[in-house]
Amino acid sequence: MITLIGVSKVYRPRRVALLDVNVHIGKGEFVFLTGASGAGKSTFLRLLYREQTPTSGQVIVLGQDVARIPMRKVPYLRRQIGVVFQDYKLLSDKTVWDNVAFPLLVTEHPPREIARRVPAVLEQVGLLGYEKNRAGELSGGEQQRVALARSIVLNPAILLADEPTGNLDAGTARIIADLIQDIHRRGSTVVMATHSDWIVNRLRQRVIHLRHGRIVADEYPGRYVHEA
Amino acid sequence: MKPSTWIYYLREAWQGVRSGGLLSLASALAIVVSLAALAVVMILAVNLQHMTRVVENQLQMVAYLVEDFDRTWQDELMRKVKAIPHVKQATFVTREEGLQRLQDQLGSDSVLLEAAAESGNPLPDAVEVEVDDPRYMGQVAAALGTIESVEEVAYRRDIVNRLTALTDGIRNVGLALVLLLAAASLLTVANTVRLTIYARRREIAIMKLVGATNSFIRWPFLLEGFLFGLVGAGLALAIAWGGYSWLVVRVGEGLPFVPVLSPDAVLLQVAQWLLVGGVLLGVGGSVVSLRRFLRV
Repeated sequence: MITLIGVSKVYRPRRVALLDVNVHIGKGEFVFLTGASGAGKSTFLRLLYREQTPTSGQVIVLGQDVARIPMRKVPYLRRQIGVVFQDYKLLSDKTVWDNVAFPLLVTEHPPREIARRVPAVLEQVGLLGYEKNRAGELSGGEQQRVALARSIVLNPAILLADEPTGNLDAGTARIIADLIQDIHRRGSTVVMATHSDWIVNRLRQRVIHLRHGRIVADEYPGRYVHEA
Repeated sequence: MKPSTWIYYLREAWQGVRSGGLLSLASALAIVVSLAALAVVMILAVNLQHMTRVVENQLQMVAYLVEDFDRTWQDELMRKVKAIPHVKQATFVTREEGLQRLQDQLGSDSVLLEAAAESGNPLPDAVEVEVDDPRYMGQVAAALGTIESVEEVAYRRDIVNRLTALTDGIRNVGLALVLLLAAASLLTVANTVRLTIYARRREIAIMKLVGATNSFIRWPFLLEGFLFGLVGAGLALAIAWGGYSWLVVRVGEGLPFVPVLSPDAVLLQVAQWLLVGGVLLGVGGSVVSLRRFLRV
């Protein structure tokens, strides 16, 4: 599903984000990416949905070498990858419905299909009845649930989460973690970057630990590695 | 493309126009000004061309004879004139006939004629010559000039030349002006669309994230430019229509002998150009901004 071969990413000037990373993530796996800020977690994720391309090495996602996909085909890769962020990245002056329907709209799904799918994913994240609320009026946890609904509405094969609980209190974080686990159980491959030790330790999944752009630990089931 | 997608594009484009506020107005007005200038130049050029053609098609010329022309030579003269190639018809007009015609044209109370009557008939005898093809006017005029007792040959070549030069001048200067204005309005539209892109950068980023194709992202902005062009062309056409119709009536009253084209004939032609021009400016402005500021 996801394979990185000798991947390095160097930002100018000379800031190494990833260095010779080799890793394989199989279909249906749940992987935590851990490490200190600047260890390369976000870069790792950005390479997967081709927000960035590697300086060297190969990133293979869903059987495609993503650096070699022509620009016009990148959208079709992204339709198979859901992404959520720490800051939700919602259209805050639009309604919950509009936000969740957005991927369906831009991929030109017929209105009937949109009307069927949006309530289904809103139910999955427990936000039925919030359709007409503006996204910006919701609490952080609710906004992240909207973001999750949006990320899965196209039934992606892969869900990427970049510190999805970073802005949330423990109780809310737990709801989000449970939802992501639920999405994983329904068949998606999940890669989640996080600082949250207790979520990692509770879910007991594979943990890839990054330090200064290198993989220093890769265990299943893993535990959170605290930096000295 | 699905109808629902088009509805989405149009709604987004309209939102872009609205969020642009005064700048949107400026864009539409810039297009109006450019296109109105284009309309003026076109209307002038088309009318001058028409005038030139009217004058050109007057195939007559007049050979004025020497003042003391001996009319016993008349038959001999007419034979010589008719022998010139491309002369279709030639008529001898005596100075008395000439004066009579002038009186008919100007009316009997003309000051000019009163003066003429006092000092005697100022006109010489003349031969009116009709040519079968305007291209041979010069040739026939030259041949006439060589005939003995022909004093002067008058025809419309000088007027045609002057009209042609004027038409060319107006066309060149006008087109330069139109191009300059077009460039200015293109930049205005580009700037407005750029601001729309900037205002929506978050939305665009999310669109890219969830897998929108580049063309899907571009369309609303292209439509926004298209709307500017359409509104601009419509207003410019209204101005041209109103202005020209008014002018035609005025010219008809004040200078009835000037041949002007009817508004319908001219403006239908102008309308096509304005529409094409407006759409090109609007969409062109969008394209400039999309290329520079929307790296999708």
